[in-house]
Amino acid sequence: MSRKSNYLASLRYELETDFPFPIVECVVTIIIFAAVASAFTGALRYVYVFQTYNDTEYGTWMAQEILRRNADHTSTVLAMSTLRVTQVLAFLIPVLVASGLAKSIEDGTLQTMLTYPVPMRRVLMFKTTIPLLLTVVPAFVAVALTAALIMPTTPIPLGVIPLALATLCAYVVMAVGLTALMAVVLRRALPTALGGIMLWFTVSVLGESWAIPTTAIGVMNPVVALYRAITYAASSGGVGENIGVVTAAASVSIMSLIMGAVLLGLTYRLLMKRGVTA
Amino acid sequence: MTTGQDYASGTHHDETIIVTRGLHKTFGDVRALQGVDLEVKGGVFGLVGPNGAGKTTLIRVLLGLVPPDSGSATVFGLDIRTQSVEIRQRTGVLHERPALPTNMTARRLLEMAGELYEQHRPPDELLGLVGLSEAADRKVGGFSAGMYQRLGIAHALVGCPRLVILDEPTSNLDVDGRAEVIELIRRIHRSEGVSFVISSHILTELERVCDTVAFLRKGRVLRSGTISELRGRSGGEVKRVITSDARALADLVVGLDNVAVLQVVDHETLLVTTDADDVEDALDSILKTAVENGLRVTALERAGSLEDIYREVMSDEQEV
Repeated sequence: MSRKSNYLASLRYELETDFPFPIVECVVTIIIFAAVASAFTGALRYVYVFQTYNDTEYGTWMAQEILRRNADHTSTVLAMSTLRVTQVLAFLIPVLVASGLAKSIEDGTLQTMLTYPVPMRRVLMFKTTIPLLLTVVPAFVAVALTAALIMPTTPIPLGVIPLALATLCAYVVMAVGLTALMAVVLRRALPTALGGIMLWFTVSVLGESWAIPTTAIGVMNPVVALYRAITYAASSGGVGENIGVVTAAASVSIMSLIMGAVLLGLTYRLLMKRGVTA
Repeated sequence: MTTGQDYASGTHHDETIIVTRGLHKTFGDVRALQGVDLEVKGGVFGLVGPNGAGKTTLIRVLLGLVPPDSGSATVFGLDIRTQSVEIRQRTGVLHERPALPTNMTARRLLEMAGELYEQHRPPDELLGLVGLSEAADRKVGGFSAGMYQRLGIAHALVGCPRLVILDEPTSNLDVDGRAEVIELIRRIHRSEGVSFVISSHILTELERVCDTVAFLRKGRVLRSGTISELRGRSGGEVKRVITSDARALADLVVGLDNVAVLQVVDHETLLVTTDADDVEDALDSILKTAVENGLRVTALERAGSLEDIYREVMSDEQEV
């Protein structure tokens, strides 16, 4: 048997045993719903500001000012929409990791999987990569959809969309890594799902509060760092002019990526040390 | 795909399959394995021991699911630390509480599991072997305990293994189900030459099917060998005496000619050996001594079953 066909066979086995329902369709639906809702909110905000101030002299000035800084505004809306997507992922990632990794430890199917000639490293890779892909791919689509919906004619400063996607990706890696470690420590699906949701939802809520330092919350959710940097840049001369500052803030996602990878490594070591049963 | 008929999966009885040297494994404060030295040849091998003896840990270590703290082991000459995938390519496993995916049919499960091996047997052939042909398209979740266990055995055989490890294969079954499984193991071993390592509490079943056994307690191998070798270690004719006070009777008969006390197994059970040529006289002497000293003897029977050997080995260890 070739290595490739063994990979495919074990991937098929993982998908059929861990996710017997149409998981991909479910996740895509949720993310698109979130993206549309988020984009709609952003578009409404734009229309409201424009129409309210357009009738007066002051309002006209304000409207012109908004139009002048349209790029900043849409950048902020995009970052906010990306932040909203992470709030949806704060529910999805723990549920997916719990129903894959934690449940298989709890019910013994992980042990059964490891009686096959499949390395444990690969099994763990599938159990973490599948939730990662199931969330990051639709999330990318959602952010792209948001961009397409709210700014069809507005130029965005170069680099904002890639930065949004990169921070989103780093957030997912971090969230999957930490939730996978929780799954191996707790070894039960329900506590992992509930604990993960509480943790990531708290991170999302704290991200909205400016009282929490960006560096602290940014490692857990680098999209927060991006959002704050764009907001700051928009009020300090424009996002385009301060793209270096925004990029520097978003570079916290490198730390998140490294931490996510370290947490996945710890998960593997812990599984090896403590065994694969509950 | 390979069928069971043309796949040379068998092992020879003189072929050494498993070798362990000084295996240690600790979980927190629990010392699960404490220097396990074992050599298992082809055939049907029984792993016997009370709960917590380390049987399941030993199986997991051999499969590479849990790394040992120290010591070494090979299966088919393959190192458990670095070649566990190759070991699992040649080994089928049924865990103590098998957890098969319940959301798919038996046929689909065996199809998918088979695709993970270099060589595999057709699902229908396996289901026929374990008498589940009619349930091939039923969801595994709807199986009875006996059907589930038989499917577990079919699942263990899917990759044309040379060795099948069964951890408590009859623990969830009723009497008929147990007999079926034991018969199935015997049939597969005889017809296909597949070797088995069976961990079980039910010694009468092991005695029916095993060539060799090892007794484990507290993570150590106390004794191992063929059943006849283990019986032979006792020497002479082994008798089990059920009496009102085994310790008192042991003290009394220890000085008799032709009688040697082997073991006070428990408060009421005593194992003795007698000269094979002088069995009747020896038994008469035991009975007479008991009666003269006011001790009641309710049974005096031939011993030497696996259960007797087990009790003897375990009580030896307790005394130590």
